[in-house]
Amino acid sequence: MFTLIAKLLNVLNSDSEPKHLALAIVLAMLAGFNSIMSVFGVFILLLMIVLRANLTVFIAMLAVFSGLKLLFITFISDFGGYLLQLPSLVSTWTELYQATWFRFSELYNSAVMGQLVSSIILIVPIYALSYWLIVKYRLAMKHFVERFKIVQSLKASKFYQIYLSVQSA
Amino acid sequence: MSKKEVAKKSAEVEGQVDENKEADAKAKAKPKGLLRVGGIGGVAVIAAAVYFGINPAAKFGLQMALESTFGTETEIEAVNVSWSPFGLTIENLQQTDPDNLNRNLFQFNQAEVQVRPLDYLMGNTVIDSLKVVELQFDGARAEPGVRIVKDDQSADTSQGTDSDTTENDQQEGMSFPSSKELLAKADLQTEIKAKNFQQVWKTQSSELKSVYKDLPDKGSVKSYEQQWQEIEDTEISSLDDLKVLKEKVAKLKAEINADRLKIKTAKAKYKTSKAEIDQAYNELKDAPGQDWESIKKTLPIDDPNTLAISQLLFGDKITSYLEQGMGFYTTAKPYLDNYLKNKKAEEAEPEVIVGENIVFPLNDPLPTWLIVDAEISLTLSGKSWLVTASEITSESYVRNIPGEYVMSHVAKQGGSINIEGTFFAAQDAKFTTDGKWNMSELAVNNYSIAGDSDLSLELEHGKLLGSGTFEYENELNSEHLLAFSETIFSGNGTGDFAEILLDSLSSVDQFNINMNVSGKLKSPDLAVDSDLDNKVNSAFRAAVKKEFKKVESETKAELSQKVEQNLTEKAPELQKLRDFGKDLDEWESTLKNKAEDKIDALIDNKKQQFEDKIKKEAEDKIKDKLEDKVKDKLKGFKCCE
Repeated sequence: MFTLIAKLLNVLNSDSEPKHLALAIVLAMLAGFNSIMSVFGVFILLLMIVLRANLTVFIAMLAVFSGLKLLFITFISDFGGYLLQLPSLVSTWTELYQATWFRFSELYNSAVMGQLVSSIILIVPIYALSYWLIVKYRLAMKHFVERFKIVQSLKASKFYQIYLSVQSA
Repeated sequence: MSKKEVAKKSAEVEGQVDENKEADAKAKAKPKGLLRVGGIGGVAVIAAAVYFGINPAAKFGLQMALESTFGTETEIEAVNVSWSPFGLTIENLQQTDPDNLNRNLFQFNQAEVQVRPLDYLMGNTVIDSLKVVELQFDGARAEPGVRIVKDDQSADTSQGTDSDTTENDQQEGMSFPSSKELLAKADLQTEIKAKNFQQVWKTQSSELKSVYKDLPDKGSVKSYEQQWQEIEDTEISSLDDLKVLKEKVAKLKAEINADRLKIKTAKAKYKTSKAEIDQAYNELKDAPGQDWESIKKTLPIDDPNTLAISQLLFGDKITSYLEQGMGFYTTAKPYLDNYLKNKKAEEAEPEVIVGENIVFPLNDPLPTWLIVDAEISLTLSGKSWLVTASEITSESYVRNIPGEYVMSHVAKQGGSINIEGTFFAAQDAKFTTDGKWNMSELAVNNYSIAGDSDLSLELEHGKLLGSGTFEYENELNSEHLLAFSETIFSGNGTGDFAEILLDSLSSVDQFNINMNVSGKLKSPDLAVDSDLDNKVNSAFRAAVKKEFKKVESETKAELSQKVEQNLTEKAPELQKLRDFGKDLDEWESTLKNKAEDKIDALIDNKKQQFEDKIKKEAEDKIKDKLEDKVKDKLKGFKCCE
């Protein structure tokens, strides 16, 4: 756990481009919301391999978004159910239901549909927010945070030693 | 400035220089792109591995699956996977027969299968197209196959079955049944009635004997005679005599009445016993006649015209075709059942569902398995067939589309056979099919019709036309017409039947056969009717009549013998029974003479005699008294003095 947080800080403090980190966060959100063991999960893993997204950030944020999904699953499922039963969309769903891929990916399930649509809706906001936060962190927060006594005490702790070992690795 | 300060200052400058260098390097470094080249390379390598490795992997997987299913070696030359549309091409597959390692259960040169992979992953095996080239069953193997899973069944079993069949065939000769065979096959009433007669006799004679024991003997009759005589001889001289006589008479009456009652009971019993014995006796006497009638019904003894020669000749052949069909079905059934069982088990597994499944109507629902289109060329009994079919599934009700099939055979020497039909597998597992077939100008050469020790018959040459219809719904119902022309028969035979048949067939150059196959698939009823029967039967008639007359007399003689045995054994006892009846009649007649009214009459007579005697004595006394009185009165009287 400490190692993962240390790695995360290392990445944030590194020269990795903010867009790559933001992309990793977005992909983590997609994988976390849609489950890594689903069709979309496999697709996102493939994107992870192909796109220059940071793996450390992805793994750390996958845990965060998986937890968030569990927290909001009822809301997400209700949202999916609402979409699937929306009269104006029923004909579209019926048409899509004829396609094998639609049934195979279980998009007729309210939770699966809710997860997918929610995660797609959140792509742009999460990307923008992540990008902005990373840039802000690097510009202002980094030196500001380091001035805190708590940070200085952290630097003297075992955690900081791990951080250094990660950084040097 | 101290040395320390100078050193510090220079270090700061150096640091500043390093930072500036880093900043310059950062500024000079190209911004990294969105794509990870190494990642793309990795994916490409994996894709290439899948692309090039899938063929051997598919071959291995298919081989393992078949070997696991059948328990014997599967040989596949190659398997090629096509991606769009997704499918497999299997080259030269041979599946060893688990029952005979020297033969293949099935084999084919090539099979092309187009499947829907996503539907398969969802539990529906949908084959859009199936093409099998040169499918063959029970083909010989170049080398014996290897058994993968140990199986108790061995080739010896099948060999044993073959030899049994041959033995059975040899037993069925074309000869007349003997009287012993007829009697052995028939459920004889003669024997049943003979047993019944014995039983009735035993019961009734035992009951009659117990009744006979209670009857009065001849000494009793003498005693009655003596008592009677005594009563008759008794002189009644006083009232006491009369009283004694009355007592004797009462005693005799009681004894006679008791015996008469016994005789009455015995007679009633005799009457019922005799009726039962007579009935059993008559039934036994009539049984041979009934047996003969019954035997005649099962065999065309009286009317040789009804002899179905065509049934004798072609019945076995037709039955063997039906058995062959059932053989395919019974071979495939365990594997199909196993597949469906596994499918059901998979379907029955509970799914953990988050959320709610909102199902929409499907325009094209899919059954558990479906072959949309199939084209199979196969060899059956040495004939090449082309089978085309569509919508093959065990769940036709899901799509509500009936399956269709066409089987066609074009002979090298000309002529063809075409079978086409539809089928439907309903939700309640009810399977129905109907269709028709036709055959045009098919040349038949050296076709073996019968081949056993009694008769070997071959249709050396002929042309065949045919047509028919069939339907199956719980039971099979089919009608077929075969028209043979330009026929030449040849063969050898021993026995009357065979010789007559061969002689008769030598003059036949065309004939028709009407067949009706109906009933349960596993045991269908086969009715074969042909004008060949009429043509051959005229020759048979005389021979059959002659032979069956002989059989009739022998059979009747044997039946009569069975009856005579029973009746002769019982003859003395039957005589005794009749004598017993006579005895009872004599008893009755004897006791009738001592009937109560006669006894009463005797008593009345005796009483009357006694009364007359008393009366006479009284009158005599009165008369004497009156005479004395008159004499006394007239003693002093003088008339006319």
